[in-house]
Amino acid sequence: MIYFLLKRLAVAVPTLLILIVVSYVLMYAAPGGPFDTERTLPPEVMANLQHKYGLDQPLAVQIWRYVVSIVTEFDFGPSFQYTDQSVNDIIEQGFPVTLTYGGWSFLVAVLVGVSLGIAAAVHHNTLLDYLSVGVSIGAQVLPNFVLAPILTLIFTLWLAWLPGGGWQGGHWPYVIMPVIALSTSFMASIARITRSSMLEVLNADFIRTARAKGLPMWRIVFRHALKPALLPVISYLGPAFVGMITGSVVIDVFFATGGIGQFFVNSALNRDYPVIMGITILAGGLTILFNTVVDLLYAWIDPRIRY
Amino acid sequence: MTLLRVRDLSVTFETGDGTVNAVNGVDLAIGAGQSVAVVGESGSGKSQIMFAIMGLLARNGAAAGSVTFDGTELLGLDEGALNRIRSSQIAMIFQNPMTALNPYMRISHQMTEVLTLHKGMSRRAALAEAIGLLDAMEVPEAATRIGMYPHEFSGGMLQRVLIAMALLCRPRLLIADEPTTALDATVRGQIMRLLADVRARFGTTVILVTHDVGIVAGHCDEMVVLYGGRVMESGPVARIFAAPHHPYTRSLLDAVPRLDRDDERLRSIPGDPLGTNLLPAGCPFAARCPRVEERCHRERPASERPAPDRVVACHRPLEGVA
Ligand SMILES: Nc1ncnc2c1ncn2[C@@H]1O[C@H](COP(=O)(O)OP(=O)(O)OP(=O)(O)O)[C@@H](O)[C@H]1O
Ligand code: SF4
Ligand SMILES: [Mg+2]
Repeated sequence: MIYFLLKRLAVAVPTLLILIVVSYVLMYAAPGGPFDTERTLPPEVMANLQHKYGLDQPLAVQIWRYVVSIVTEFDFGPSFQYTDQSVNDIIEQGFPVTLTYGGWSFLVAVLVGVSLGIAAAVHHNTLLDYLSVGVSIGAQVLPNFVLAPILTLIFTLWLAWLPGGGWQGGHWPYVIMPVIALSTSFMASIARITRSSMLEVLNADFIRTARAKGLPMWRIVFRHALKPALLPVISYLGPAFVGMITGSVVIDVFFATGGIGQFFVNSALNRDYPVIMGITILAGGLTILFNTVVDLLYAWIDPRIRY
Repeated sequence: MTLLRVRDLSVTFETGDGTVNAVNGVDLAIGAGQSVAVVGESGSGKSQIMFAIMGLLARNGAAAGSVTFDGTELLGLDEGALNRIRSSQIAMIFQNPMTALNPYMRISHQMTEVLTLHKGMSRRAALAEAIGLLDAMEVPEAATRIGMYPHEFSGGMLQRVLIAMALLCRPRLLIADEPTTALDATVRGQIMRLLADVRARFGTTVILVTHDVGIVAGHCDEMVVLYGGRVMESGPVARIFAAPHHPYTRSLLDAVPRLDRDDERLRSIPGDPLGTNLLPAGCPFAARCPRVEERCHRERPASERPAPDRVVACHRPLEGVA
């Protein structure tokens, strides 16, 4: 397993490097620059700024310097837009917010989704099954940018139960709606996947053996069927993770939670190159880490997979 | 004493293409301590009869008729009561050992859970008991191998594990559904010998399901011949082998390669096994029967008792029986 992790690491490093180069080039190629404000700056000032941030250097030199400062000092550079903050500061500020509601969303999506899927499969073709299938189809066609305003309409404007935005250090009333808005569609997909894989597993020969042993249903479901039924769910977690990162941008903007997504949008609009790069690398690194965890989970469940 | 009695058992499956009649009015009586072979070609309903007995039919299946075990009606029994009988009174060995065990669980856990559940044993005591049975079933290095996963075993070893697992609670009835079909010929003999051992040692009543008449002689006292989900003939093995009454039994016996007959080629029964979707009005074997006559297509032959211990369902039975 150590070997497996080392191998993963060995692949992760060049992957991140490629990510850096490609994003840098793409970003550079996009029209507009960081200091194109409405009133054009005098050419000397512009040249000064460009020089200060090293933007007058050839592209290859810029990328090289960028990578070197990350590797040697873990420094992702200064923000162009928030002049007194570094990219590290911004990530330190926004990432805990995103991680908090993102983590909760992930947990809710998996726990509720899997439970709903199991319940539907065990009570196949009953009202409960139809209900949960109906709910998950409904939830799946509701993207977060539609769900978020609906939630605000109900819980903030009509019922006045929950604040419509803000974060307040992650006080729970501020966390609820972001979590619901972000997790619902993933929860629905997980429920659907769990249901169909559980139905399939329950038809397997070894489940008949378990029944012949006289095991009660709950024990068959949780001891014998759950692990294999979760395999397709686990393969879905990778894409779900990426989807949630994307979704968090919408959540941050809509609920003004101050998470990393908000900074990402602002920096993209203002061509704040270092912030865009910093967040891109963060998302890329997290995705690689997460996929490694997924592979380990797979091996933990299936004894035929060994690293 | 009759341990298991099956009366007029029918099994139907609801499918997209309509109802499948897998078993059509089967009667069985199995005495305590007996070894009974249930013989028939693939698709004749052997497995479904056994599943119906244990309440293990697929979701789309339904059983009608009556199954009594030691006087208790099993059909329609609630799941809790059935679970107390399963494995502790009636245990089953399945057709394909490679798929019958949970690939995601260690053998140890799959075996001990039976004992902790039915006997309230501790994990430790259960493990010792399980290892003992694996030893008895000639699984080498049982104490270490019990910690392995099914994919680390060969088919023959898995079948030994399954037999050991079925015997954990010393059931009174052991149903072995084609225990050797998925195995190669050398292992086949070993498994049959083990099953004979089990009978001798534990006095277990055994139902041996097979499509191979060749293994019946020498292993079973009684046999039941199935075709199209119906009983064609039943009686003591020796008497049926000596003089089959039913043309289908006759062709089954003729298809067995015999050393004394010195012909290399295997005689197979002409024609295809019956589809189970349509229930024929007459004899299910009519389309392939060498003795068929006009009324065989029209009238379903009733079960007759040409002798006290024999049953045959045929309009024109062999050996001069009327
Ligand atoms: N779930 C199901 N739905 C529909 N038909 C089924 C189902 N299960 C079994 N059958 C049908 O029931 C019939 C009898 O099947 P059964 O498994 O008892 O055969 P068998 O005698 O055990 O044969 P084999 O030697 O191949 O195991 C078959 O025609 C099969 O197609
Ligand atoms: S009833 Fe007729 S068709 Fe059926 S086995 Fe007897 S002779 Fe053959
Ligand atoms: Mg079968």
